[in-house]
This record gives sequence, structure tokens and C-alpha cells, in this order.
Amino acid sequence: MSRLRPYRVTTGRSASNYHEQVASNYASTANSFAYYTWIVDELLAAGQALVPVSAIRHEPPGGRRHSALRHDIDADPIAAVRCSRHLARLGVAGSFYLLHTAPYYGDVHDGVFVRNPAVIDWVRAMIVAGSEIGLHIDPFGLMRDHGMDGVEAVKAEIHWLRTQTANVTGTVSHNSAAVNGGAENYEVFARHVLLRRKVRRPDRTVLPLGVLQMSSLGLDYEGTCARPHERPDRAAALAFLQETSPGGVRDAAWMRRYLVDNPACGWDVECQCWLIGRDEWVVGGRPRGEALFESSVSGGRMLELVRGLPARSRTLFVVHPEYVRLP
Amino acid sequence: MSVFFILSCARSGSTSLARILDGASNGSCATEPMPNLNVETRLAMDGRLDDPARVVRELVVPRVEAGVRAHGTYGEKNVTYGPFIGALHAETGCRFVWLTRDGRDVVTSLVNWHESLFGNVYRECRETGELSPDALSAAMRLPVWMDTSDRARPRPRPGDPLHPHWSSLSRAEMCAYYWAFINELYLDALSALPDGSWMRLDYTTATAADVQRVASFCGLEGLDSSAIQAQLDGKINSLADRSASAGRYPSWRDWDGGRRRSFEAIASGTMERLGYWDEASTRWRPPRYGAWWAAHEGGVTWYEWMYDTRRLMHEECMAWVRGRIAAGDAITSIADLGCGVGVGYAEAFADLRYVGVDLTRNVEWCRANRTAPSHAYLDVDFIGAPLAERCDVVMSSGTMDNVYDVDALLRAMVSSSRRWVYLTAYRGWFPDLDEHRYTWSPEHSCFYTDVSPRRLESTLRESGCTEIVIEPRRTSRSDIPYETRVIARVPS
Repeated sequence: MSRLRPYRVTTGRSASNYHEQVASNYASTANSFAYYTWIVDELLAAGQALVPVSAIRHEPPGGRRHSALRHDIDADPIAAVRCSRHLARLGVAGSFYLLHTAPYYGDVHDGVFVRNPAVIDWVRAMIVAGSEIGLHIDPFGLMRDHGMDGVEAVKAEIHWLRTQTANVTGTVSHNSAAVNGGAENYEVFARHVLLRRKVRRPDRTVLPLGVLQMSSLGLDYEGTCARPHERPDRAAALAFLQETSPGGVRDAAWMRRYLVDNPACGWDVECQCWLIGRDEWVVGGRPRGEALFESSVSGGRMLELVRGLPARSRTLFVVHPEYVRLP
Repeated sequence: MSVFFILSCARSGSTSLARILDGASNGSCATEPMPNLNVETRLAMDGRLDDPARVVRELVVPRVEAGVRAHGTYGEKNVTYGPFIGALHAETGCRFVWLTRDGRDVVTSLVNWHESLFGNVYRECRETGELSPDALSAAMRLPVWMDTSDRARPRPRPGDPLHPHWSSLSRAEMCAYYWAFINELYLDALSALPDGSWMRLDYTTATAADVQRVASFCGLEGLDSSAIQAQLDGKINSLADRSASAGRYPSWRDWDGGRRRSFEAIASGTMERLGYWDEASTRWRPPRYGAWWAAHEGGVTWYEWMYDTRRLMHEECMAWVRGRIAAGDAITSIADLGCGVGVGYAEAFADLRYVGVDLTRNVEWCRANRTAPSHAYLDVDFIGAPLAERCDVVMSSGTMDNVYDVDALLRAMVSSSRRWVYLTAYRGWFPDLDEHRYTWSPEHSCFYTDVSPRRLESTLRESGCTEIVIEPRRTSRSDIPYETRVIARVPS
């Protein structure tokens, strides 16, 4: 930790052609916004109770299947605002997590993290739309990419979002241990450390696991919905956490282990549906205690699987708004 | 049972009326009792509620019966009863009081309600709005899945022409839709009831006597007229009452041309159906428009001063007419809209047919003092009532800046002209404006409008005009270096 530069931050300049870059990056994988509205309409038609991520862990009332729409805003806050407003039109819940290490949020200049002032507008837009707002935390990414104090960054950005009137009560962890070099970002919270261990980065610094207390930060939930195993197979868990996955969410074998057979964590939901491209989903979980996993399935197939879930099941939909950004 | 319901859309005064009626000696009137049918009304409006009568029987009738037992006469105010009017009447034998308010005032009130207090009026709107800290905080405290109030507002259903465009509308447009939809719903449902089962009150201009008539209709007694007037004057539940703020969204009198057109596109049918508008050309005429000018005792001296201030512009106009005649244009008659007392023009066009149009006082003076046999003076609202006599040139010098509808003026001039229209705007040249920028002056009971050249051209083209020239003209004055001049040939 001592080798890290302090987290210095201000609010200032914006990236001039950022959104053009996003358009280019997602040109082949993004869906139309109508695709998003279709999915939401179908979920409502299927009788899914849509709740905020903060409530997904709780027992569903009346035996209904319930779901949460989690929006991890990795790249496109404008599409996120559009999603938020669509849900407002329907009067249903959606949860949105701003990634504090994303270029749209800010970047580092001369050792100072400079926030994009437009973030204020996006936050306010989502507040008015009535969405749940949280921070997509990436403390280890900030350490890795900029050598800055990611723990302080998480604290500072939660505080800053609250000064913008956002009622931040939860976070969602960005990326995975496969990217972070052996630890999930949510392991920065003491409650969510998966295994007691030391994780060293290539430069020999130790990742700060368990250094934050959620309660002291006023946080109620971690929307990744992962929980440590009560009796983990330590060797298997360590091996998985240290595993690298070049394909990430598009690596079917890795996603199956991550969502269904994860030796490092269990899940507070029975099923997860990840939108990973153009009409392309990964569905995984253990409804009824049995493995369910299908990758690269269409939205239609995903909905079919969701309709087949048992009563009282909880499903987490993970949508990156950049995948529904097309007009 | 002696039961009544107050119906209105939001921001129409129903909370004020309910509180006043609740002071009756023989009954009570509840303000938004729960359950308030927020969820059910949206389901019904979306066509997803199978049995509205069951909702009424299960959720409303029990408390109505309890209210009658407790108070004798019982009433309720809720803004969600539109889809349930027939069922309410059938189940309770009630009467209805339908409160209306000019839709433009409702739009302004709703937008200010959003921006100043609650931040949750049509939360999906593309405009976040200029929210006060209180409003932003209120929006944060009430997430959308708990916000039945915003959910209760109607949205266009598939098949509605507005449905595909909804996400691109401004909040004011959404509020206009709300006002129109809800009042149409009320009127349709009430029209199906027996005569005498409902009455309408326009709360825009309600007096204590009006409220007493409502009380009598509802079977309520014991209300004091002076107390009612005090409550009306107190503007119960207004923005000022709730937040000591007037709100930043302007009154419709200060809407620009774009806001006017947006409102018209959505709500003009309902404005006409409810009697707020009659003629299309006079929609934007405020009640006291022109009162100051009609009463002002400026006399000829005042008009001569105004003429001298803009002498160059007047001389250009006269030269243009003479130039057209010299070029062979068969111009024999001129109508001058807003002629004042004819200073300059009566003499300049002594040899032509000259029809001056202005307020009664000026017209009377002209008839007595301008005696050229080929001249006539008319005291008509030339926007609302285009001239019966068509002239070769219809001109207006420095009047379009003060009228209530610049585009309506242009259309009236075109329809009254055989060959040309010629106008000048004394307030300047505003090439950057996309819309006419209206500012209402309560003191002078007229508008001070900066006219948009682009909008002028658009209106003239839509009217079929050709050879349109809209240009700045030098004034030789330092305060207003350029005025706007408009010349166009009208369709034959």
C-alpha cells in the first residue's frame, strides 16, 4: 500500500470524442434500444416482479418470481439514462452503477483523478427517473492501471455521489478476479472477503482485501450478489481466483464455472442472465439446486428459460447499457 | 346516500375546493383518501383493468358508506377517478363536481411543481429539469417503483399518434397531454350520466358565489362566503402556498412560439372542447389584451412622437409603395393595421384607397379628423377578424411587436391582401431566434415580442407567399441600429 500514490481528485474536463469511440467499439455487438424495451416488456408480461438490486436478496413476496435489472455502466452513461427513463415510463425498478474508473467518469492527469462534470447531469437524470443508483467499484483496477489508492477512491466517490443527492446504499463490483490478478473487487469489503489470504500484484504490492466496512460507509448491499462459501474448498477456490480468462464473459467454460460451479463464492440469487452482445445472453445458476447454464443464447431462449424458473426464484439481469445503445 | 366526488386533473384547484367544502356544517370532504386508486387508474387507462366496478365496490364504497354514516353528506377529491366515474355513480348514486382550469396554466403549474418541489412529474422525460435542491432530494427519496403518483398519469398507448414520439417530448408537452387526456376522459364519462348528476366549475376564475353553488349542488350547508373568498385568495396548495416560490417555468403569456405550437399540437382540441379557445387566430389573446392602449390618453402628439422616432422606416415604406406603383404594379388600395391616428400615412396615401385599422378611440378620432374621401377607418381586431375588404397592400408598421400572435397576424394580413404584405418590427433585428420571443407586459397589457426572421419566413411560405424578403434595415439610431422589415407577395 505504501507504494501507492494518494487518491487526488477534482471535477473538471471531459473527454471530447469519448462517445464516438464507444459507438465504434460496440458497433458490432450492440442491440437496438427497442431490444431492451422488448426484454423488459416480456419480463413484465411473464409476471416477473421487478425489484431493485438492493431488494433482490430478500424473499420474494407471495411466491412470485422476482428479478432485478442491474445496469453496470461500463461505457455508455447516455444509454444508461435512456434505460432509466424507459423504466420510469413503466414505473418499474432498475439499478444503475456508475464505474468510477471509466473514461466517461473521469481520468487521471498529472496524478489527479479528474471527474467529468457531465456525470452530475447523468446522476441527476437517473435520480429524476427514480432509479436506484450505486457505484460500480474498481479499486483494484485503479491500483493496477494508475497506481492510485483504490480504497480511498471508493470511499471518495461514494461520498461524492451522495453530495450529488444520490442515495447510494450499495455497490457492484467491476470485472472479476480473473482480471484483477486474483481477487474480486468486492473483496475490498470485509464482509465479502472470499478467502483469507494475501494477493500480491505483479509489482509485489498486496491487494487491500477486507479493509472497508460496508456499514461504516453506509452501504447495505453488494449487488454482485456473491457470498463467501461457508466451507470452501480452499485449493479449488484459490485456483479459480487465480485463473485468467482471456475470453471473459464470452468464455463459456469460464462463465459456467463463475455462475454455476464457482468454488470461491455462492450466489444470493438462483439465476443470472447476462447480456453479452447482439441478441446474445449467458444464463446460469442453480434454480431448484440444479445446474442451469446456457451460453450464447438468444433473448427469446433466455426468456423461455426465465419463464421456466420455479416460484420464488430470484433472477439477476446484468445489462451493460452499451449493449442496448443503438437507436 | 348523499355523496359527491370532486374530479379534476392535478394542479386545477381541487385540493383548495375540497378543503373549502370540508368546512360545511353538515358534511365533510376528504382530500385524496387512501387507497387513492393511483395504480388502478393507470391500469384502467392502459386497458389492463377488467372490472372497474369491482375496484369501486371494494376500495371506495366502504369508506364512502362510513363517511356518510359519520358526516351525513360525504365527498372526496381524487385526481384518479376518470376511469371509475360510471362505476362510482352506479354504486353510490353520487354527484360529481368537475373542476377545470386553462390547460396552459396547468402545464406551467405542473412543470413548476416538478422543478420546485417534487421532481417526479413524468420522470421519464428527456429533460431532467432545472430542479431545486428540494425537488432533487424529493425525487431521490421516492424511487420510481414506489411512486404511484407519477405512475397514475396517463401515457399514450400503442396506436396513439403520440406513442412513438413520447420519449422525445418535453415535460411541458407531456403535461399538456396529461391535461388533455384526463379532461377528455372526464367529459366523455360525465356526458354519459343523467342530466343533473354533475356540474362543472372553472377554477381559473372561481368566485365565492361559484363555490356556494357547488356546495348547494353537493347538499352542503353552512359555508361563509367571505371565508370562502379568503380561502380562494389564499391560493391553497399553490406553489407559493407550498414553497414560497413562484416557479421558474413561465406563464403561457411568456411562452415562445415553439412552446405555443407544441401545446397547440397536443391540446388544442381539448381547449376548444372545454371552451377555452374558439377561433384559432385568437387563442393567445389574454383577457385584458389592449386595455392599456384603449385607455391611454396620448393623443395625436404621442403618435407624432412615435412616428418621428421611426421616421426613416415609415419613409421607406412609402417609398416602396411608390416604387411598386412606378414599376407598374397596380396598387390602388392600402390597409394599415395598427394605424394609430394615421400620422404620416394618411397624407402620403391621400391619392389611394387607405383603410386604417386600430382601436376604437383612434378610429373615432380619424373619422372625425381624417376626411379624405377615399379613406376609411375600422375598429376591429384585425387578427381575429380579417378585413372584409381586400387591399392591394396590407401593411403594418411597428405593430407586430405588440400583437398576441405574430403568425396569426401574418396569416390575417395575407388573407386580406390582393398583392403584397409589408411589415416592420420596431424592436430590432433578431436573426438568431428560432422562435418569436413573447414577453407579456401586464402594465401595458400587450406583448413585447422579438420576432424570429426564420419563423416569419416559414409562416409566409406556408401561407403561399413568394418573393419574400425579410431583412434588417438601418434606423440611424444607436439604441436599435436595425429594425426588421418583411415584404412578401401574397398568392393570387
